[in-house]
Amino acid sequence: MTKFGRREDKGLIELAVEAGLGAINDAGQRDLKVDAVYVGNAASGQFCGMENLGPIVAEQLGVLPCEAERIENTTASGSCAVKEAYRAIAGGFLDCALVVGVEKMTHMPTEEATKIIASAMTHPTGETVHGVTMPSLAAMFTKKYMEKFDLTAKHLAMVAVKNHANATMNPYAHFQKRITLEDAMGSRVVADPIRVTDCAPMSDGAATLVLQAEDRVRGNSVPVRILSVGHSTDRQMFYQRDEEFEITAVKDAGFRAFRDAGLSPSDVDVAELHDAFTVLEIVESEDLGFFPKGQGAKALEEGLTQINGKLPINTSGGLKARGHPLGATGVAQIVELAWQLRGTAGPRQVQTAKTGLAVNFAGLGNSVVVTILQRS
Amino acid sequence: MTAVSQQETREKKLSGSKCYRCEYVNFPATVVCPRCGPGYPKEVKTLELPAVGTAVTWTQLRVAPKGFPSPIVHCVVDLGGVKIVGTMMGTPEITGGEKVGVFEDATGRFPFVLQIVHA
Repeated sequence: MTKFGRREDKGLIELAVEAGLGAINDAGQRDLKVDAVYVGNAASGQFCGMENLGPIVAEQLGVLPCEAERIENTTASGSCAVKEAYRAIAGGFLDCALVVGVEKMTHMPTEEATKIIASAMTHPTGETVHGVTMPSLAAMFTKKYMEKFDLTAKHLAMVAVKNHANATMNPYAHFQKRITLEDAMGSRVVADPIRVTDCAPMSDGAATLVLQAEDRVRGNSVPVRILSVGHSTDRQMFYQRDEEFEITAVKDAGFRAFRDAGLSPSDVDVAELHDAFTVLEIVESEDLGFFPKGQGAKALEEGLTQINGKLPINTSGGLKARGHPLGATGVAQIVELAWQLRGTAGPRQVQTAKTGLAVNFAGLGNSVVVTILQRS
Repeated sequence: MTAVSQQETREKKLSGSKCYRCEYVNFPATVVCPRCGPGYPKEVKTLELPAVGTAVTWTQLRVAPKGFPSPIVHCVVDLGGVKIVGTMMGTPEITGGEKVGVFEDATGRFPFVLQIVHA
């Protein structure tokens, strides 16, 4: 994958190619035959005035002829691209697929980028027309959650502090600087109770995976298996969902992923969760069944989700600090888990990590993808 | 631009949809009931929503998207059983449970605006 952050040095396609070549090189097969290229991207049309990323990236990577397409599901575009590749290979249709997640967005002024993101993620006639943005929605969700459960501003700050600290051990992360609880709790309010440090940044970057049928894997790198992918969708306007205090699609996608993998939450050794807003990491850790409902903040406080804890969450720094180039995020999560399961995550390595889980979703959990991986 | 200001305005009744099979009310209106599914489209009819509801949750967004006043106050309102979001006029103190009215937006910027109403 590429370094995430402000990448003024490279354009959208150049980032995709940089990450693509990195993954192909890592697979260690000079004669790698790529059957398909899936490009996960949320909004290249609005951010870069460019739509047809599949064929362009495939051509630039020199893997023609092959299938090539762009997959869009807002901030879940990356994991959806992984899902399509996984299913095509598991179904026996392909032997090898290249999954590229990419986004370039930091060149846009903030209010313009905010508008693009809102148009990509909010309900067009119910929300977008009112100037509703992801921070508005996350703020209203957080407020309700704080009223109901033992979740405080300090807990939100603790997520940011932990993920910033993890990111300092990840050379690919956008932020390379630790922050303190005081920094976080004193940072600028974006939408009460959410502060700047509660929000994932806008980032440029790309991440790539080579997925192969098991009997095709050669080369030097240690293979990691995708055991299952669960995907579920819920109402767009979160306050119209049946359950007020859970992200039901996380629960449902998690149920499907655990069922298909034949595993349970206690089998997971390391997790990458979708912390576009700090509250989400806590809520997802509950709705996946890692911790009882309303106990996620307590688990965080007890250090259970730190790198040396019982269930390390967002060792990469998460969306919060690794950065959040929308379409790249879901792929970057799987890259981090692959490194963790291979034992090549360097100073942020989780000891004896055998099973990993990723949650990547659109909006405030409208469309959720849960992926479970295991060391071969 | 500053917060949406108080304005002389008229009450507005929004048009939602109601499934007469399960009575679920939806907004924005849909042709299919989200509960009953696509097998019962003929059961869904247009329904006028009440012009006054109850505040559920709210926030003041400090950085509005391009083309909107900033800061802007967003509020989720329960309008006779269906929860909708809208822009609040002014920057009132809201704790939840307040009566909120739906009004025409005199500026034409929003499909409607919200304002705290007193009984």
